[in-house]
This record gives sequence, structure tokens and C-alpha cells, in this order.
Amino acid sequence: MSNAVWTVSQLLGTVKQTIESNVNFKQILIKGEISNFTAHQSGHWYFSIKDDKSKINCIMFSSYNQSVSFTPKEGSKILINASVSVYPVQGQLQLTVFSMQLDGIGDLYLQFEKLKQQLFNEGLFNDLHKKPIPTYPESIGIISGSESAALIDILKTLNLRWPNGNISVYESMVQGSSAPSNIISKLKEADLMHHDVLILARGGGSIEDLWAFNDEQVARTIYGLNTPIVTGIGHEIDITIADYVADYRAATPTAAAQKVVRDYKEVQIELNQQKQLLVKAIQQKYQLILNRYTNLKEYAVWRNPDLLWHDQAINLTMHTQKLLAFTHQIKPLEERLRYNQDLLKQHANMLLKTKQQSLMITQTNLPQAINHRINLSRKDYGAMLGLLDAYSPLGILKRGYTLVQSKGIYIKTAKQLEPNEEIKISFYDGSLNAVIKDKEN
Amino acid sequence: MEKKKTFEASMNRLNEIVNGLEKNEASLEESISLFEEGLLLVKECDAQLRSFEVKVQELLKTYGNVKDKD
Repeated sequence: MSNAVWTVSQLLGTVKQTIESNVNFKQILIKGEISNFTAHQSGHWYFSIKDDKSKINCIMFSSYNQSVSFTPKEGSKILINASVSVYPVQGQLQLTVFSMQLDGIGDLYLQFEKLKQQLFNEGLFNDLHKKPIPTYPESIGIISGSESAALIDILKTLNLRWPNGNISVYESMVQGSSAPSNIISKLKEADLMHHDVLILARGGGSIEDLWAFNDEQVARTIYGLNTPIVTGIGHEIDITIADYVADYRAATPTAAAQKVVRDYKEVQIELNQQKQLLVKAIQQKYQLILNRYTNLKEYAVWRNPDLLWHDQAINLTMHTQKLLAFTHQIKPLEERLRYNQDLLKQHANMLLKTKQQSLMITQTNLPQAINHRINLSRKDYGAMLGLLDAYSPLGILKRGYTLVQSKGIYIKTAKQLEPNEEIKISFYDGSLNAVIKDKEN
Repeated sequence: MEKKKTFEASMNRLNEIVNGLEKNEASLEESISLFEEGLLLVKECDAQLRSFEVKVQELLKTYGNVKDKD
């Protein structure tokens, strides 16, 4: 960058862009004295503004200088609102001026800017607080100077556009020291009357003339209104604090009246359009219904009712044919089934016969086998019984042996008993109690 | 709430009816009754606008047929 060689126009172009994009140089207030004033035939003004040390060239385009309310003279002390720019042809800084006031009222200007900023910060100008303006107000309240041009303009505009006659005028002082308090009381009075909309208006004038509309309390009263309000104060170029805080700011009193009511001629045209839309819509609706009705009416069945069952008859034939075709498919299956049935029957018969034969054989042999078995068992039983008898203690007792018991225990040896002990002697046919006399060894 | 239908209410209702008919959702009977209501509203609004017309003509005579400024 530092080594690059610049052309003069590149340099000035860059400087111009740098300066003009800087927000700190946009719409700033500058005070000084006018010198070298020239009103060019194009309508633009060229002059310088200077103080005791410096000076800078200024241009004020005709679209802006038209609203300047005094004739600038050499040496006039002025306050301007301007943006800094660069005029590359001469390599000069210059100011593009938007508005100009004589410095005597510079204080008012500063006050205005300060109040505007303050109320802006408080949110009084916020769109969120702006009430919608009704389209067809039934009742309108106008706060304006008594018999002022503004009031006449408004009344005429309202009457020629929407002459519904429901207009109330609240005549107020619109300039001078008691104008603010007067405007405030009229606004409050009008607000109580439940108008659909209010107009606050004043014709054009100098900044001092319009000053009542830059009053803080007027602004706060407007903000506090329950009725929507449209302002039309001064000319296009004048924007007062009241304008900022109003629900709608019209450029002039006439414009305010135009905003508040529609022109009945426009509404007539619109009404006519609505009527045409109505007719068109109902015709379309009717046509649609008619088409549907015609279609239904033309439905062939009404003329040839046979059609109602004709299709069904065709269907029936079709299904019958399908069924018949199906029967052909079934026949071979049936035959196979029958064949299998026969086969099964044969097998079953054969099996049955075999089983019957073996059963017959079993039946003949069974009694012999059982009897044999019974005889065998009978013999065994007799032998067993004899054996059982031989081993029975009762059999032994019959042969002359006895059993000796003492205290429920069978005595097997002499050692078990002592003299004087009671014993029980069992025979095959009864028992005796005895006492041991003495013991022999 | 209001003693008589306001012009605004009539125009809003008319607009609603036109939109409703254009949507074509209502039955024929409903559409016809909306249509009838719409025509009645047109007639009422038209009468009011015509009275304005007469009044404006009178006013213009009084004002000496001045043209609108601004």
C-alpha cells in the first residue's frame, strides 16, 4: 500500500468515500458566518461558512433552499444542518446543506434537537404506540387556529371528500406564549368527546411561529390521547415534535384532511367494484351448481333405466363363467381324491383282516394259558401253606414247647431271670402266670 | 353497541361477503342470502355516497366551484 503510486482522482475518490461514509459527518449542526454567497441561476446556492480561523465551501440545492425563510446576506450569522462531502474536481472539502436558520434562533434549534432526542429515547415516537387512523370516521375533531387558513382548508377538503357533517372544531391559539397550554386544554377537551379521529393543524410559518408544536407538554399530551390524531403543521419541510409523536403526520393541513377521510368518488368506484365482484361470484356459484345439475340430469340412467341393471347382468354372466371354469379344474382333483379314498379303504380292510386273525388266535389260546397258569399257582400255594404251617410258633407250641415272657419281653435264656420275678408262660391253648422260686446253675 | 351501522362496518361486512363468495365454500342457499345481504349493503352505502355527491355539488356552488389545492 505504502509503495503504491496513486492517481490524484484515486486519492480524492478514496478520501471522499471515507469522509462521506462517516456517520459523524452526516446531518450535523454548524454555526458561522456567510461569505461569498451566490444564488446560481440553476436555483442552487453556493457560499462559504466561516469563523475567525477557518472557512469551508457550502452548496445548498434548490430543493432545500426553497424552504429557507430569509434571504442570506454576506456576514449573516447562520446555523446550518449539513453533511460533509468532498468535491473532487477542486480537491476541496464542502458541506451539503439541508437547512439554514439565522443564528439568533440557533438556541431554539438546539432545544428542538435535544427534546426530540429525549422523547425519542423515551419511546414517544415509537410506531408501537401509534393508533390506527379509521378509514371512515363518523365524527371528527379539529384543533386549529380560529378562522385560520389551515382550518378553512381542512373544512373544505373534508366537505368535498366526505361531507358527513359530523365535524367539531376546537379553536385554539396556535402561536405565542400561551399557545401550548391552550392547545393542551383543547386536545384534552376533544379527547373526551369520543371522536373517531382528531386533526391538529396549523398553517406554515417561521420556526418561532410553529414553536408551540415543539413544546414538551404538548407532545406528552398528544402521546396520552385516547383518540387517534393526525397532524398537519406548517409546510412539507417543517417537522415539529407534535408531528413525531402524532399517530400520523401529514405534511400540511389539507393533507391531514385528506388522510382522515377518503374521497367519496374513490369509494363509489370501489363500491361499484365490490358490487361487480358480488354479482360475478354469485353468477359463478350459480353456473357451477347449474353445471352439476345438468350433468346429473344428463346422466344416461334417467333416459334408459335398463342401464341400472345392465352392468349387473354382465357382471353376473362373467362370474358364472368364471365359476364354470373353476368346476373344470375341480374334476381331476375329485377323481384323484376318489382314487386315494379307494386305496385307503383297501389298506384299511387288509389291516383289519390281519388284526382280526391274530386276535382270533389269541382268543383261542388265552383260556388254556390262563388255566395252566392257575394250576401252577394253586400247587405253589399248597406247598407254601404247608411250609408256613410248619414254621408257625403255634405249630411248635402244639408239639409241647412253651414261651416265657417277663415284663412283655420273650425270655430266651435262664440268665435273663432272677428268683421272685413274675413270668408269663404261654401254651398252645392258653397261658399261666408264675413266680421264679430259685435258680439252678 | 352502536345505534346504527357505520359506513366502515358496512364496507367491512361487504368486503367479507365478497371474499366469502369468492372462496365458494357456502351452499347455494347461503350464497344467495350472502349475495342479498351484499346487495343491500351496496345499496345503503351507495345511497350515502349519492347523498354526499349532492351535498358536494351544493358546496361547490357555495364555494364558487374552487379547485382542490395541494
